[in-house]
Amino acid sequence: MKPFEVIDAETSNEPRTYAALALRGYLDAHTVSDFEAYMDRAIEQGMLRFLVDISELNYMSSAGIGAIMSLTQRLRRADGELVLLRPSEKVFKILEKLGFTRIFRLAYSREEAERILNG
Amino acid sequence: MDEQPRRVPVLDLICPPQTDMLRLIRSVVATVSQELGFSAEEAGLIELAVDEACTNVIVHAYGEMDEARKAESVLRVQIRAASDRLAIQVIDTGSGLPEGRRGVDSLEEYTARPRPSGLGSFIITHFMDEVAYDSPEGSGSGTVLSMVKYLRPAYG
Repeated sequence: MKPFEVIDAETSNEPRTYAALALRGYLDAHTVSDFEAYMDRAIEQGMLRFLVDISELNYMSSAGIGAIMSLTQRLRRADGELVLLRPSEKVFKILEKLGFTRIFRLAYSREEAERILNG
Repeated sequence: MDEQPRRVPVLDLICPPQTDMLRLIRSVVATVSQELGFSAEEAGLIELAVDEACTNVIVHAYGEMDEARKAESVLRVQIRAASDRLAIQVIDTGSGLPEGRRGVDSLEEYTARPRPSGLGSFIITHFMDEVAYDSPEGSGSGTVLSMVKYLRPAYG
């Protein structure tokens, strides 16, 4: 198994209002550049709304949190949004202890995430 | 023989200052923490604090170093397990953290920065019980970051 993967999770939602992807493995100083490069490409192609499934992301350090923070700020300035779907217990605890559950948009079902992104 | 048996287990990890080492270091720290009696959640936070300390060393202490010197440098993590605590030292021989890079004091300060930074040092001080930096005088003499986490009796 690779230490970290960004997986396209395309949906059949038409018209395409958001990009869906899933992160798997761990997001730290070693892997964060892969995530940032993926997101940069998607934003350059005009996408501003993202549903990021992190249910299989089993670790996140400040490198990953910083990348998501930067992306969130960048997207919100352009009326976009990034929703983190179903954080694993370990990642949720890290975000909660630091206060990021009040800053990032978290969703616990696909429907909830779609309501946020389409709202 | 005068030598007493070692009473405090010590693990001494010496590795190249590369980010691909972080996963291995985290794994060792988390395993030792849980074996000592920390909960999975506490072990996860200790693991995170050590990751942040090592990342600071790799990115900041060795970040500007030329490749030849970096190739000779090491990142050293010493883990001492006692009955009531876990003591961890992260040791480098790099240039030390630049002035003003000791991290933020709050989440509000972090989010107000134009480009988010300084969260790693905040995590270290937030999740560990004792934190001390020791940087000997002189450029390039390195830094020893000492962290302690105490075991607390389980509630209930």
